[in-house]
Amino acid sequence: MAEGIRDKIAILGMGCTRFGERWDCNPADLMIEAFDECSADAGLGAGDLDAAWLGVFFDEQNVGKSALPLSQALRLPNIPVTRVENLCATGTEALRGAAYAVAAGAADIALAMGVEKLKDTGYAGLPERTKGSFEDLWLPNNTAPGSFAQFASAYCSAHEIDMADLKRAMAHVSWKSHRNGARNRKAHLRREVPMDTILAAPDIAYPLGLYDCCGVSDGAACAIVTTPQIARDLKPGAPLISIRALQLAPSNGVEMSHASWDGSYALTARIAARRAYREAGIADPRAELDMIEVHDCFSVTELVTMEDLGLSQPGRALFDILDGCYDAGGEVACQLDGGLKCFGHPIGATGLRMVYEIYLQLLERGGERQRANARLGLTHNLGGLPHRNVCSVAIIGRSD
Amino acid sequence: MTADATGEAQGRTSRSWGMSLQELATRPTVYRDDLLAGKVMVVSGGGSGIGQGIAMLAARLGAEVVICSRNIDKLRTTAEAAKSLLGRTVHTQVTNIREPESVTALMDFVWRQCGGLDILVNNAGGQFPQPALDLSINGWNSVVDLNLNGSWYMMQAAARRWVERGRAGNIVNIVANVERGMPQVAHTCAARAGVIYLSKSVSTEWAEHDIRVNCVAPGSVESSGFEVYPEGVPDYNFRTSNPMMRVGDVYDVAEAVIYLGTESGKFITGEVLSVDGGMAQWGNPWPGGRPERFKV
Repeated sequence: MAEGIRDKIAILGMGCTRFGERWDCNPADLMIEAFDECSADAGLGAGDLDAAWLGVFFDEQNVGKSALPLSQALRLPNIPVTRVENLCATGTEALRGAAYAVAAGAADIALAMGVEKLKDTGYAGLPERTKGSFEDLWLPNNTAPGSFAQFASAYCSAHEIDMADLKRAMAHVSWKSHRNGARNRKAHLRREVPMDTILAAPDIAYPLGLYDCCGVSDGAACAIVTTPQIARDLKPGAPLISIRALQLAPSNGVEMSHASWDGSYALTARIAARRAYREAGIADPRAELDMIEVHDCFSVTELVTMEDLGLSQPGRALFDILDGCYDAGGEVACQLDGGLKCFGHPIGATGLRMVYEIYLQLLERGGERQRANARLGLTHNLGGLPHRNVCSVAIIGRSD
Repeated sequence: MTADATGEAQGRTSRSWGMSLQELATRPTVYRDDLLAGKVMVVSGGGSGIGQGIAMLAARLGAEVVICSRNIDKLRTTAEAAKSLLGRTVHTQVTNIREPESVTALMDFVWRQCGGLDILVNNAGGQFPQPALDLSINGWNSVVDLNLNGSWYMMQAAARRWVERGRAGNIVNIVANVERGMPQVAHTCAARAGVIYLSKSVSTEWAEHDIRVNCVAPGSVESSGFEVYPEGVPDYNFRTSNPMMRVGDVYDVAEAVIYLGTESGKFITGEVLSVDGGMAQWGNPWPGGRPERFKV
């Protein structure tokens, strides 16, 4: 097996916009806002970049396709720009492109930018696809809440769990994330939500209630990556933040066409996590990881992900969640920044927004939500639906 | 210093009362460390006050503890303290004991999560001081609902599961010293008296199922519950409410609960154990401030 990218890429700087209903600006403004912070953090300008990757999901909405939106927004010096899209893993996909370029020696310094401006569409949720790249054969009249509601049912069935118990555990997931997000001024939704309110919220798709579903927001986030050597040369004495693993596992059709998958877990997440732990040299993720940012598009996704990432034993995530294992002060803090619950899901930006929080925590810039002695973090995106998706897992660590 | 003397009879006390979590984790106890190993205990209202003390002591003694309350923030605070100070996982469940469905969900969950239940401590309760003439219907109902109905829902839900599964059970209800009435908190007196006589009744009915039911009646015991009383009342009225001329602490109650809930109490049922420094014989806390008529 190839030796992977462990410790071949350092993150030199990162930036993230305030997420929210950003009627005040256009996608280019968002990219500039994120890049300004990133550039100042890295101590480099657009002229120092060798290559860039742009992650945008919705093809004909607001941002535009091709290299041009990013190249024009930042007035890049005609360097190569690659526009990528991989469902909800789009932001992480941009990072993977930039990281691979550096690891391959094709670029010394590369930018990964993710942006999405969902509010401009006027939709309350993600825009529904009628025609396009997802063929209708496999997704007739499909909605995200509906599919993840089925995920919840299948999970309960597989583990003989009472739906009322699952509802309470999902409520804990949301309650915890909103509590964290209230301490983050870049989050879109910044109020703590009382447990009573969450439990009494109207259903969106049973058993998923309003607070089990993430919001819709605008935002952008970006990272400048380089080699560890260049990072040490540019920032002597500073802690080195390096990418320990970047894995991607797309479905290959087995889940939706074979009875071996019971619908109660994300097969790709298990594969991506296993590979990422191997790449990063992690033997016991629950003991070694300090914090994680996972794809809580719906609370049940976060719950099941705790098992898919090997943090909770099968069927035990519910109990671990209620025991606070993944609260800010728990064994492995999950969604210290508030997660998708508080940031919404501007698809192109989400993966990089997650890495941004891990980056801040590793550098002890977490402010009032700082996790003590944070040394190793993981991000996870699940794009698509339980039966057909792409899953990305990134592991980021600090070395002094 | 009385409530009247401060001129702030309606004001609420602002300082923090009771033992800190650190104290709860370290106060020496007469019990051995593993006394409750393998036992499952549910403590309602276990996120604060006396319930928090009971939960922390039980966790120290090795029990698998589930605390429930409507307030998840209090529950998490206690659970996190148990984890960080004792290295023990205390389970938390958001529950409204006034709702039978909520109690059912709690009990089912406890059996699923912990594989059973050994000791139920009905600690959740509360009241506010007010002359009986002024009590509103809502105020009356809320106190009776919480203290009497809530305790009953819990008792019945636990007992039904014990009987169904042929398991022995143990209930300890936290009540109050009601023998001479409780002026200024008549609603809670009525409710607690209801719990006491409910306990005596079912202790006989359920003896054949190996279920013991007892009550612990705290007097003036310093805890976060002191917050609801007017300024000066906890400092003066409560201290002078018993012949010992001091207040008790939550460990006095917690250790009494453990005594009744474990083998030491195996021949005791239908009983009320007062933990009140003798208040039942002499003294009155006057939780709303001592009225003019009784100033002697």
